[in-house]
Amino acid sequence: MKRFSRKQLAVATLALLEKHSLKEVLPVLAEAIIKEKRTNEVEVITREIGNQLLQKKGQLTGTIETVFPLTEKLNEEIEHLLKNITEAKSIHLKHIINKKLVGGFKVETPTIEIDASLARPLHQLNSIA
Amino acid sequence: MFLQIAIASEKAVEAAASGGIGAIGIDLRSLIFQIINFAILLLLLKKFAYKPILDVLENRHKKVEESLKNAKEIEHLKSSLENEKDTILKNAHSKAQGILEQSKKQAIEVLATAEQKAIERDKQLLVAAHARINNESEQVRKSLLGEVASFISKTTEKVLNQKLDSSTDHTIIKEAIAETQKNISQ
Repeated sequence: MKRFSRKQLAVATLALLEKHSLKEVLPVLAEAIIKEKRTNEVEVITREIGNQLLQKKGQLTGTIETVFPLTEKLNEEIEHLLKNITEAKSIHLKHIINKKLVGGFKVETPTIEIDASLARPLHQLNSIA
Repeated sequence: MFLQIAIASEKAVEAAASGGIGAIGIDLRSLIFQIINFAILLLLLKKFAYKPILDVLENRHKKVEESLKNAKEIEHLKSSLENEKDTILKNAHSKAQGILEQSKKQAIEVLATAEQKAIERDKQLLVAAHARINNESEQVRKSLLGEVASFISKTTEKVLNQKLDSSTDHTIIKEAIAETQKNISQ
């Protein structure tokens, strides 16, 4: 059986999503990944789907972590920042409260990662030890 | 032979007695006998006394000459030996002096080499000691730095966890956004 590349899988997934719902597409994608014994590549494939989504439709998906809930204004500022960086038309971020960040924020998308948390310099300082 | 001489002398005596010497009061017979006696004595002395004495004298003379010759040879030999002894002593002295000089030179060289080696070893020990001290102080510094960093990190984290409120966090986020924006622009 021909083994698909990650990019091919991502493009096919996006094509399916245009006609079908996520609930329908996800099991098909999961089955293909399991059949090809590529479960260890799930994260990379997901990132590639996000990347293709950004390239083809201008949609940036990802997560944002903060210690406290963000205000609407701050959320807009962060989205504006991400648009400036990635030239995405729309931003879809999943918000996660993470007390381990100590302060600041952390954004993870398929194409970029911004770690502006207070935990980062503290970890860097700690890594000296 | 003596008989012939006696007969001849008897004839001579008879001839003389008839005239000549006998006329002046000399007894020719007695004279001839005395001459014969003297001759015989001379012959006897020559044969039995003079010759052994002369032989003895000659031998003694020869021995003396030989002794003198030997003495001269001994003297010469002694002188030669003395010279040889002097030469040997001189050579031995010269050799001994040479050996002594060489020994001194070698001793100085050995001392200089040993000194140089000791200096080199001291230098190496010094360098090694410096390196060890530097290494140890570096390790101590790193360890201390690590401990201080760990202490600061943990303390800061604790303080921030306790003291950081939503408003301050939002200010920090705003500043971080501005900083990131500034970095992108650059």
